[in-house]
Order: sequence, then structure tokens, then C-alpha cells
Amino acid sequence: MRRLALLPLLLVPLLLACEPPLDAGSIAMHQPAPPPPPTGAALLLQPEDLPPGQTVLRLGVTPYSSPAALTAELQPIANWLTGVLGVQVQLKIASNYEDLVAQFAAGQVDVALFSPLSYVMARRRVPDLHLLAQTLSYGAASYTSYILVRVDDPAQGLRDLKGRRMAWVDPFSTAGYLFPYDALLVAGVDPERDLRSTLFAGTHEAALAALVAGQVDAAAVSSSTLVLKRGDPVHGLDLGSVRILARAGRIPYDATCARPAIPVSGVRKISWALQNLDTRSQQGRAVLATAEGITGWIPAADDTYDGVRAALVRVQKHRDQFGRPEVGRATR
Amino acid sequence: MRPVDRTSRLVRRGRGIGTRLALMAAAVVLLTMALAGGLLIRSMGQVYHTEARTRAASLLGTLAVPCAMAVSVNALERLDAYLSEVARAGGEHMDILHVAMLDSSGRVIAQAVADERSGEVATASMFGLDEPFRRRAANSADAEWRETRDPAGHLRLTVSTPAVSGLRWGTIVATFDLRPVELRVRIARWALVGLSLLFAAVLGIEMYSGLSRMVVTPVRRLAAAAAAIQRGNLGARAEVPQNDELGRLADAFNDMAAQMQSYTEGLERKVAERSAEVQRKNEQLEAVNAQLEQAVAELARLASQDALTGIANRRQFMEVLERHVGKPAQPPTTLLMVDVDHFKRLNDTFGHPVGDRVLREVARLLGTGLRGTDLLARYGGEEFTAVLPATPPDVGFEVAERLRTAISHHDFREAAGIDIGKVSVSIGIACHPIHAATSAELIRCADEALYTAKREGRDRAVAFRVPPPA
Repeated sequence: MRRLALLPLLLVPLLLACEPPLDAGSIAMHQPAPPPPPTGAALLLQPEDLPPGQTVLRLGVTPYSSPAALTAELQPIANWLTGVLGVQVQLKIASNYEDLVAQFAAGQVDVALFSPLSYVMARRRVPDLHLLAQTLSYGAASYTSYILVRVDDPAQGLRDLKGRRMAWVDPFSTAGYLFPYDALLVAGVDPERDLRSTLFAGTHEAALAALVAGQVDAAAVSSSTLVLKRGDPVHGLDLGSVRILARAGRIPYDATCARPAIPVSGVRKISWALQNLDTRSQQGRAVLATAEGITGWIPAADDTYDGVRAALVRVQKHRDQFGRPEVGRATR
Repeated sequence: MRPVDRTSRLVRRGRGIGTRLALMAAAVVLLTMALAGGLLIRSMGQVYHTEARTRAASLLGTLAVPCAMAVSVNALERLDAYLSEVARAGGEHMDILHVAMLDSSGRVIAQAVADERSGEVATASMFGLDEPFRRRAANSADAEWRETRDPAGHLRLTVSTPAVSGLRWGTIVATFDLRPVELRVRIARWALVGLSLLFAAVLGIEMYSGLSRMVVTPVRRLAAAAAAIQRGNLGARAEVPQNDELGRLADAFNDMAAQMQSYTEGLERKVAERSAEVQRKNEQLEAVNAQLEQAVAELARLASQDALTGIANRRQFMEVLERHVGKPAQPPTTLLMVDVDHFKRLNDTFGHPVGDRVLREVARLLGTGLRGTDLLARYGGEEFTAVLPATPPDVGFEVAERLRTAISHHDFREAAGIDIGKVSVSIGIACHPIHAATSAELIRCADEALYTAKREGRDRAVAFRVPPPA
């Protein structure tokens, strides 16, 4: 009985002895990293990896900058690919977005760097194209579209943009036109009727500059523009004078594609070569140092661009009501 | 009634069932609460720690994309700015002590400490970021964590998260101060201890009162009834109005007590009947004994009495004489030896029945003339003796003479039924210790005196004369 009376005394040590010991462990991540692609000689293109008789690889790009600037930016990538693949890679600059899709469909370029919207267009025209990889830009796989206003602007939401002046980037721009256009539609603002005026600034920086300068009341730009500019005040833009009114969609970065005639074995080697190039290594940083925003490539899937496809359908449907030309047919 | 054994169980001392049940109930409740509380606190602590780890990992996860972007363009100053910003802002409920970005081989490429006022140059190892952990963090696809204690003994949590943005750009590692979490666990623990004790006390009291109502009170009533019955109150009963085992036990006990009462009363009744019967038998036995004693006395009397005359016989005479003679310093005892003169002739003349009647009348007359302390006995035939204690010979002679005279003057017609004429007696007298020292000698002396009286003409008393020395 006396022993029994001692049992309650166990309470205190028992409760105090609950101090968990020092521990260590892992928390499983939801997105496991993909296995690294092969390197070295496995990437050398053999004759059977290319269409019969072809000895060069033509890399088509859109003219988002002057041909000279573009060449300076992208030639190191072409050179690097030449070294890795063992085949001459020629840089081929298209005259515009539409031209690149056309050249690609016509087999005049073998590999093309498409903007998201261009990729959707190209897939429409060349359904059996090969999606090689998705570009990483500034270390991110996707970006968004910002609809910016000046900090002192009274607008609180997209609906407040009715009757205001709006700056787009380009009718073929995903972040600078398609997604913000769709976002306005969803918010109940008709970009065709409700805006007092619209301006196609041509580039993201130009649209931003128009807003800062007060030429427009709102501007739609890519989020990467803002990220880049925040850490890079070279352009002299006062980013403290603008604020984000709304974000529009989540946009995957550019798609790198190969034309259907390239054999699958070649497609795989080109894809691996691209995935081996990123800014994590000193060599990668050297190759990509001049390429604006490109920091690497990752494996890509077509459904990544479904959001772009859906926005395009909605926007095109709306534009059709006003007899506007097809988005993909627009010219700068 | 059986005597009470003072060492029996009813006088035992010690804790009662109630106390023991209360102690057991409290012990069981406390033990259960201790176990449950311990487990609860343990799991609560684990929850808090898991929560802290998850929050830390998620905080680092949000940091991953901007940091990855900075790394992707090799903008290390921007990376420093991000890390400093995070280190200053801290995490919810947890202060960040140190945050760093590791490259693919676990090298620190940028870092920031929360408290830069110390002036010390922070190194990763100061925050438990040793080489093995950095390697593990850099190579793991998962968020890695571990808990360490700083030199002051404060708990720290180090968490790493792969900085993945399309590609893995590195690993973010941060060390958090877990003291707020420890404080929360400690507060929760003591709150739970308090609640457990309170709950245990309430539950213990409730259990005790319940057990008391259900068990202790009925048992006490049963014990009281048993004690009362032991003291002899067979009418005592245990009142347990419960419809359970104890109620049934009380019913059985009461039935047993009733049976015992009825049995005991029956037994007592039988004992009383038996006692009465024994008493009756005793009385009968006593009566028989009395009769027996009477018969024995009669037998004794018959053994010491002469059947014809009703006076003492020769045997008794000898016993009495022996008592008075032979002891030194006794007062003088005189013996008279009496003989009826010419009795043979009387018998022959008038028949034995008349002779017997004469003997009876002589005995009566002799008895009448003696004291109560004297013994008259029939010595044999027509011969009588009288022992006169404390009587000198001269007094004895006077007595003898008076007896002789009384007989010789007595008219025997009435006693004999016919006229038989004069009856006389001769008496010899001897005295102890004057004439003889022993009874036999005394008898011989008296007999000799009687012979002398006969020879000298009968109807006379003659004292023993000491013969002159030869």
C-alpha cells in the first residue's frame, strides 16, 4: 500500500521528463528536383540526329532588339551549342514574331526561341513540333504581368482604369498585352471601349518610361522588367514613383522548339545541351552574360502553356466582336 | 456465548477500505493523468516543434525564388540585401539568428546575421552550420533541419531549403531562436500539469465519494452489524438498500444472522430444557443418595447395635472402650459389667420370648439410669456393659448400685407379659487406669469383679479389688 502511495510522485518527473531531445530530420519537398541531363560526348549530334543531308543547325529568334544587339546577346549561346553539339549552330533573326512562326513552319529554322504567345501560335500551325525546353529568366521559370500606375494615382482596382490612358507593350506580347487585356476583361473593363486611349510602347521599358513620364495613366509590363530594374537603376527610371495596381496571370517563360523534321534522338541531345547551360556555373555565366534575362533552361511540357492558350482564346473572341485582326496577325 | 478473542479481526487497527480506496483512486487517476498528460505534452511539444520547422521551411521557401533569381544573375549584393532583410524581419514567433545561401557544394556564398551590433564577425559555424550539415543540406532534395543548443544552452533550429526556381540555384539555410517555442511548450506543460492535478483531484474526490457510496458505506454497515452480532446482539441487521453484489451480500448476511438468531434461540431453549431435566435428574439422584445414606447409616447402626435390645452391641462397645482406654493422661473411665442373675433358669421356665422381653426391659432400665455420655451395650447373652467416661471408681460404684437397685425393685410383669417374679443383676466394676492399662485388661478386671459379685451371692455390685502382692 505504501508503494502505491508513492505513485503520484511519478507525476512530476514524468511530466518534466518530456523535454524532447535534440533532433534532426528532413521535410519532404513537394517538387523533387529533376535528374541532371547527360553531358559530354553523349550530346554530340551524329548525322542520323539531323535531317538527311543537313550539317548545320539554324537557331531562330524574334527581333525583340536590334539585329546587332541580338547577335551580340545570343551569339555566345550559338557558339556554345556549336561546341557542345559538334554541329555548326547559326543564329537566324526573324523580322518579327509572325515571321519566326512562319519560318519555323516552313522549315527555314530548325530550332526557335518562342515567346509564350508565339509558341501557342506555332503549335497551332505546326502541331507536331518538338518542345525542347523552357527558358529560365532571371532564375525563374515563370513571370507575371504587372499593371502599374503611378503611386499618387487614385485607382484602387482595375475597374478604376475606365476612361484612363493605357500603355501596352506590343499586340504580340504575352505579359505586355495578352494577359493584362484578359485581366481587364475579367474585371469588367472592355479594353476596346472603356479606355480613353491606348499606346503600344514597343518594349517593356518604353511602356514603363511612358508611365513614369506621365504620358499614360497605366502600363502593362512583364514582372521581370520591374525585378530587373529594381536592382539595376541604370535606365534612370524612378521606380519609386510607380506601384502595382494588379497582377495578371502566371506566364511561363519562352519555349524553345525544334521543327518536326529533326529526329527524336537529335531533339533529345539538343534539349540536354540547353538544360546543361545555366548561370550556376562560371562557364554558364560567361556564356549567358550577354543574353538578356536568360539564366538557363529546364524541361518543358506543353500544358505549361495552357493558361496562355486560354487567355488567347478569350481575348481573340472579344477582339473579333470589334473586327480586330487576329492577335497573331497583328503587326507592331 | 463464546468469549471475545481480543486479537480477533474485529479489533484490528489500520487504514480502512475507504482510505485505501481513496488512495488507490487518487493514485490510479494521477498515474493515468500523468501518462496521458505526459504523452499529451510530449505530442504538444512535438507539434510545436514540427510547426516551428514547417514555418521555418515555408519562410525559407518564400525566400527561395528571389534568392534564386539573384543567384541566377550572380547579383550577390542583392542576395545579401534579401538575406539581411529576412534576418531583420525574422519569422513569426521565431527570431532568425542567421541566414545563409549555400552553393551546390555547401559553401556559403552569402549570409546575414540578425544582430550585427555584437561587432563579432559572424561565421556559419557559430550557428551550428558545420561542414557535415552544410553538405547534407546542399545535397538533399528535401528541407533538412536539426536542433542544437548554443553555448548558453538555448535551443536553436537550423533549417535548410533547396532554393529551386526551375533549377536548383543553391540552398538557403537559416538558424532560428527556438526560445519562444520552448517558452510556449513550458507554459503549456505547466498549464497541463495544473489542469491534470486539478482534474485528478476532482476525479479522485468524485471516485472516492462514488466508491464510498457504493462500497465503503455498505461494507461499514456490514462490519457494524457483524460486530453487533459478535457482541451478542443477534437482532442486528445491515441496511444496504442497493441492488448489487453488496446489496445481495447484505441480504445473505441478514438471512444468515436471522438463521443464526433462530438457531441460537432454539439452542438456548433446548439447553434450558436439558438443564431442567438434568436438575430433575440431580434431585432424583440426591434423593436416591439420601436413601442410600440412610440405608448405609441404618447398616452402620445395625452393625453397631444389638438387634434384640436396640442398644450398642459388643462391637461398638469395644470401639468406644478402645477410644477411652489406652491413651495416656485420659480422665478415669469406669467399666460396669452387668449380668442378669439366673437368666438360664428364667429362659428355661418361661421360654425364650419372655427371656428376650426381660433382656429388653433390663436394657431399658439400665439406659434410663445412665448419662447421655455413657455407653450401654449388650456384651452377649444376658451380659451388658456400661462405659462411663470421666468417672472415678467410687462414682462408678454408686451408679452401679443405683442401676442394680432400680432393676431389683422393678416390676417385670408388664414387660414380660406374665409374672416372672424378681429379677436381679450382678455388677462388676473396674476403672482405667486405676485397675487396668488396656481395654482387655479392664474387661478382665470388671469380669473378675462380676464373678466375685456372683460368688458372693448375686444382686450386688462389686468393684475390682487389687489383689495383694504375692
